[in-house]
Amino acid sequence: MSNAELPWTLASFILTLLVFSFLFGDNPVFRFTLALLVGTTTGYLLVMLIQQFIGPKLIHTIQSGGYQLAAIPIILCVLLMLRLIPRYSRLGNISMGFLVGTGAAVIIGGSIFGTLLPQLLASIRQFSSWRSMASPEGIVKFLEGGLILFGTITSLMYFQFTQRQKPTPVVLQPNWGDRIRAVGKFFIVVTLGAVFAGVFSASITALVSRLAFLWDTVRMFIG
Amino acid sequence: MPETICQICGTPNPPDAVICSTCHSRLGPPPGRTQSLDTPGEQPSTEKENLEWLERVRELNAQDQLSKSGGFSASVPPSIPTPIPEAEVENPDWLHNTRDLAAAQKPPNQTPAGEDLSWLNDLRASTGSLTPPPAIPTNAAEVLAAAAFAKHQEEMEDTEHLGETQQLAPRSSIPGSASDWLDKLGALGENEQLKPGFEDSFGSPLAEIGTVVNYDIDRATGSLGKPEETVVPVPASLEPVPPPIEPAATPPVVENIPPAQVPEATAPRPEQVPGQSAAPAAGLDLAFLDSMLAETPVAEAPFEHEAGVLPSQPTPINENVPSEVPSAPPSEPSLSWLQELQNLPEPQSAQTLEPSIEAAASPPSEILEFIPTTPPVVAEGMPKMDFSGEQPGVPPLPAAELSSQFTSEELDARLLNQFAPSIPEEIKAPPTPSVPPAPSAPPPQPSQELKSMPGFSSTGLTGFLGSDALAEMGMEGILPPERTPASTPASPPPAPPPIAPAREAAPPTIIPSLEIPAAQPPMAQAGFPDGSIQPPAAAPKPPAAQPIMEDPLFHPPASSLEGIQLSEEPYAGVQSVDLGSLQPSEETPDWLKQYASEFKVDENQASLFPSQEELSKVPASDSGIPPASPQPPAAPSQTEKYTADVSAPLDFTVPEPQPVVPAAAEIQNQDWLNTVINETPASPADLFKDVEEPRFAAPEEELPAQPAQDSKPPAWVMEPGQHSGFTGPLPDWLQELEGDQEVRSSPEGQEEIIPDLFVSPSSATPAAPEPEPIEERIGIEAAVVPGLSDLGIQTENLFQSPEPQGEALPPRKEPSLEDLGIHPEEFFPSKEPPGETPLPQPDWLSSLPAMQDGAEPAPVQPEPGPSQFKKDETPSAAASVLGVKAISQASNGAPPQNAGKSSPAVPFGMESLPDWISAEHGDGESSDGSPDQPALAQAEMPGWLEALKPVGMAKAALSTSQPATPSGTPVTGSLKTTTGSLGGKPSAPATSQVASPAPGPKTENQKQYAAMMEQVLTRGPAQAAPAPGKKKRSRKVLWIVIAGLAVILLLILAAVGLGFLPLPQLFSTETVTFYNTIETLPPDAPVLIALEYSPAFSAELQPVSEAVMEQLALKHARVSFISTQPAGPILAEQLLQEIHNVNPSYDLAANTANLGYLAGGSTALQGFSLNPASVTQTGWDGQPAWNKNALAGINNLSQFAAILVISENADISRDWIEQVQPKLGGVPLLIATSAQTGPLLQPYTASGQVDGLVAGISGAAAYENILGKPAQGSALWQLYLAAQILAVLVILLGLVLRISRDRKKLPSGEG
Repeated sequence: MSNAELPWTLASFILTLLVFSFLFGDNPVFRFTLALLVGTTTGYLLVMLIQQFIGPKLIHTIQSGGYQLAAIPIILCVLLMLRLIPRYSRLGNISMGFLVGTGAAVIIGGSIFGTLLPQLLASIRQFSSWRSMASPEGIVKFLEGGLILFGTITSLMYFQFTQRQKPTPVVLQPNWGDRIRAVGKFFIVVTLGAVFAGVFSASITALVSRLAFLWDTVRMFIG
Repeated sequence: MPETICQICGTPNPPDAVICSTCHSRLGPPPGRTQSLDTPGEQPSTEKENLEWLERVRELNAQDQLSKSGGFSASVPPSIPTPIPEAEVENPDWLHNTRDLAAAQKPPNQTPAGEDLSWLNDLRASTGSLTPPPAIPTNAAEVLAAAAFAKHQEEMEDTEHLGETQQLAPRSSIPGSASDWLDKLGALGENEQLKPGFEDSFGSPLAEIGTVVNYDIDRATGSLGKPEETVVPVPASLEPVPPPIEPAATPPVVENIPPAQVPEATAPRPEQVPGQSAAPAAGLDLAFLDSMLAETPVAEAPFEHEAGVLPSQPTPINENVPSEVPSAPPSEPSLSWLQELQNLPEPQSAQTLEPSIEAAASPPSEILEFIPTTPPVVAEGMPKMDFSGEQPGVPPLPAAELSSQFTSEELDARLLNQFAPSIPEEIKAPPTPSVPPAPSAPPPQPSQELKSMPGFSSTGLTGFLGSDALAEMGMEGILPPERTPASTPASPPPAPPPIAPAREAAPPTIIPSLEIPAAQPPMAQAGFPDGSIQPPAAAPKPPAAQPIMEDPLFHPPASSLEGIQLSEEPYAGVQSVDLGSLQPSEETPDWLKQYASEFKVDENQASLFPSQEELSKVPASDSGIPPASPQPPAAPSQTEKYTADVSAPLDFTVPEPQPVVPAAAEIQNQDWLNTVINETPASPADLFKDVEEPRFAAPEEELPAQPAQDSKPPAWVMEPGQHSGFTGPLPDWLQELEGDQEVRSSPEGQEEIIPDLFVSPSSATPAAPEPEPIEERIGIEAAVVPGLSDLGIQTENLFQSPEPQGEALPPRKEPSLEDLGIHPEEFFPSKEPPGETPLPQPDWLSSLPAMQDGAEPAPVQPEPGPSQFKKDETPSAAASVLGVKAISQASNGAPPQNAGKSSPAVPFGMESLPDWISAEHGDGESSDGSPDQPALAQAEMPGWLEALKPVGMAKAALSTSQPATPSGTPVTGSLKTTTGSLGGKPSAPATSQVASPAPGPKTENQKQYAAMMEQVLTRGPAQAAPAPGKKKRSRKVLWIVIAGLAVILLLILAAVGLGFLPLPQLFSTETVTFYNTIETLPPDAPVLIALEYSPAFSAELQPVSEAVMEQLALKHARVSFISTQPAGPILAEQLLQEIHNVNPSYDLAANTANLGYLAGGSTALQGFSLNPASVTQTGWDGQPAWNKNALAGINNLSQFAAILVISENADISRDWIEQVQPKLGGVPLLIATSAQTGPLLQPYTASGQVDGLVAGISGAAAYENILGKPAQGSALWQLYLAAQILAVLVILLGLVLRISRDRKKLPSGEG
């Protein structure tokens, strides 16, 4: 570690310890660290937007003579900024509508063509290999496909409430719909558990990383 | 603006005031006037306009009179009344109306306006007061009538604009006496007060009476305080004995007298200040009374009563006598005679009376004085009466002779009697033997007092007496028979009308010769002077009269009656009236007539006019008056209950009572009036006569013996229709109510739910049987409303009357719950006490599931569902709330078991404290249940009240015994008594059958609720959850300890190093593919790396980024960086720096390009995928990026060799997959993500949209392992692995602790 990095290392070390103070509950030190993070990020973001977006996209365009190209964005930008004024906030709805509309279009198109259809095709393709079921790999793949299909259907059925709950529920024998919903619940639980495990892993990773950094720093200072 | 003077009190008020600030009367003209409020400048003459309405009233009355006599219409159209004159004293409105009526008795041109006074017209027509007297009076009655009429006319002219009340002042009288309330009806003027020498007025010759007596009712109450100059007034208390009535000659005409008129007659007449002119008569016919009073000489010596001293004269109401009121002539009558009546001397002795009685055959000389002659004379000794002034020479009655003859009450009674209607013929007093008047007796002159007697007018009296209407009214007996100095009365005086209260004897009259039907106690009993009045001879035996209610007002204390020898013989002339034989008049309402035949006077009923028998029966030493102060209860135990919170006994001391003069016979004849009088207390104290006084005295006070009649419940508590004094047939609706009631036959067999609170303790009321426990139910289906007896309240002790035993009471001590009869254990009885009998239940309650009385309920059948509640353990919701237990001991009067125990004072002073209250008071003994005997005796309740009791609820008594806790744990607190009350064991909710047919929870839901309730109730305080704050603190400490240990351990491991831990050997397919893709790239392949992760996830993604970058550097690939995250370009720069450090030969400037930040999210990616050069024209350095070597030959994304997306966010990764991947055209898309995103991106990997996937630190470690260069990823992996193991251990430890804690919380029985 170079000497130029020493201050930053030391700062990192201190800030890490300040963040670890949250173990003892919310305290002003932790809040200072949060505020420092938020502030730094905000400043960095502002500078980067100006340098990376507004400057080249807007100012540079205007400087290069592309007023027509820059007019529309400038107008929309101004209209969007009018939302800060309650009296003229309704004018910013134009920009907001443009943004929301384009974003929705992109997302919807991407979801359909980027997720739904490919996933459907992929699920169907799982069963297309029935011809190779003679091999174990084929059977396994078939079963995987079946399991995926079953899990998908049952998970979707779990969110389907076709029977109205009575105010005084009476315990009755579960019907087939209840059983399917229970299976779907199982798949959902498993999925959420997996996600939780991943989140937990990520958190553990961050913890150990910081702990390692602390140890390394201490060892560096110790020598 | 000038101030507005109040017409009533004369108080100046602001000009804009509408209501007088003093008397709160209207200042302006009455509503309906056309006075415009919008024209403040137009200030009408308030005085004049105020008088206009009064004038109209008078005119109206005059028209009525004329219509009655000579074609007047009975109904007078209403008109604007004449306002009350200025400076008129404050009087009730009805009095003003009556005065207006009197004022309206004017010439026809002065038609008063106001209310319909047709009834007055009827009266006047019957009485003949409106009839102008004959031009030449032929008899005494005519003379009197003429004099009264003339006098009245003069009064109306003189005092036209004056209210009669302005000169009126309240006359002092004995509180509660007949004269008291009469006096208070009107106010006398300042100077109009009863003179002490009233008796002098009565000393006037009897002959004067005939010209004075006028029992015109309306005039008697209306014209108050109108002195007359020359007319000798008849004393107001003189009983208007009708003239002798021949059996077939003059039938009683009672029906002609509207009942409404009688109250006017019975209204107290105010005093009239001598020396002042009488106020104008209130009514057209009442002015004659004033005229009569006005003639009373003012200079008469005040009447002095030898027996006593009249109370001090009250301050006259009217302080502002208008100046325009003409001063009364010296001979103006005053109402002091009424007051003087109160100061009558000691009653005459029996010896003195005897001669009087013997001489009853002939009118005594004193009586003869009152017999009207021609010209009318004023009897000596009679109060001065007001005449119309036609006989100015009529001397006033000497009052001295009457001073010792009459008591004030008797005089007042006579005053009232004169207004009573005539009695039926059959009950009329026997004809008074005519007594020749004393030849030398001068014509009696009306005394000033008589003149001041309100309502008396010689003119009106003459006309009234001489008319047939008088006979019809039966009031002939008011005036003594005509007599001349040498003649005897033409006929014996007719029998006076019966007294309204139907007493045995008629009230004593001043004119015994006037036949009074009821034989009253001799006048000597009332303190009348003996010898002055002879009782009528051969008076018929009065019918059986009802005893008079002993009342301190009418029964003076023994001390006051000392020396008064009450003769048992009825006073001559006083006749008792049997109210039972009275017939209702025609004017009696029909609804009242039906009760007339069965009307019976209850001895206990208050009456204004106690019979003479009652008076005679009262011994001197014992007046029979109950002590004024409340007596302490006899029973010590009962006393103690009610002496806890009362420091001093209530004082119901009444003023010194005075003998009550029975009502006049005429009044007695009025059945409806009899009812009113009987039921109307003479004084406010009478209202409480029937009410059992609460006994809050000290226990040491001895209680005198209570008469048997005290045990009777008060009248108002009695059965409907059984009100004291009313035993007539009940209306249908009352009869039905009675039929539905269950009259308790015997107190023993009764279970009082709502005991009689006002039954004297002397009444033997055995305890009611303990009600059966509450039926086993959930909720309050079988809840019964307990009664006070169930609560242990001995109602008869709440308001105890003096005990007849008179035993000494124990020292007062703070009562305990047991002393108060509260036995909390009784609220939850386990079993019925022995000897209890079930109470009769009404039908509606009997239809409910029967509850066994005195028996244990059937045990609950166990069932898998919620348990049934044991009958003896289940306090109903209502019972628990009300703390009720159907006490069976309420009526036996036995002392409580724990009478000797001390307990904290009960703040409410009630016996019926629920168990939880007693438990909180620390009286644990109360929880020990045993059916104790009731502390209070069961009161006897009327049937109608008992019917209102929800008997069924009382029967469902809680078990007496304290239910044991199922869990066996001691239960404390307010729920102690309810612990285990539900009983049973809750069963697990399941689709089980509803178990037993026994009452209990039927549905599953109910069973579940019951089980829950049982758990809550059975759960003791030991099982209570700890305080939330404490729990939170412990959790925090535990968390800190665990976290600290973990951190320390990891540091140790980090320091020690976990190199011994193997790296991951198994790689996922996606990781291998990822590696293979990079590995298979050709050298100098353009690769686009999208650094989309945040610095927070650098620990996971930086290792894989460095690994991949290092691999690309080895390939000398042209790497371009782009990011849609703000921190991406910075991270890219850092990564390039790291690669340069690791591999310095890799030329970053020639081989790398940083396209910077791509704003717009998915939209920007869409655009970047379509035309990347246009979207990212410049790089991070601000220079055109697409001119660099790293992007040489790249126009779209499909020209890249591979696209690597490094992101921890699943959405960003999905955006790249959804937006960019379709445009790649077979270009491999590699994703390095965090462990939390890896599962979410697996489908894309399975679908082939993502070629390679490296997730988390494990993937990074695996990639490094595959690459063969362990780096930071591998190092973190070992520590990560240790942390993972530690986390698992902590999770397991927490699970174990939670399970163990949950096990402890669970009930032990439920295992």
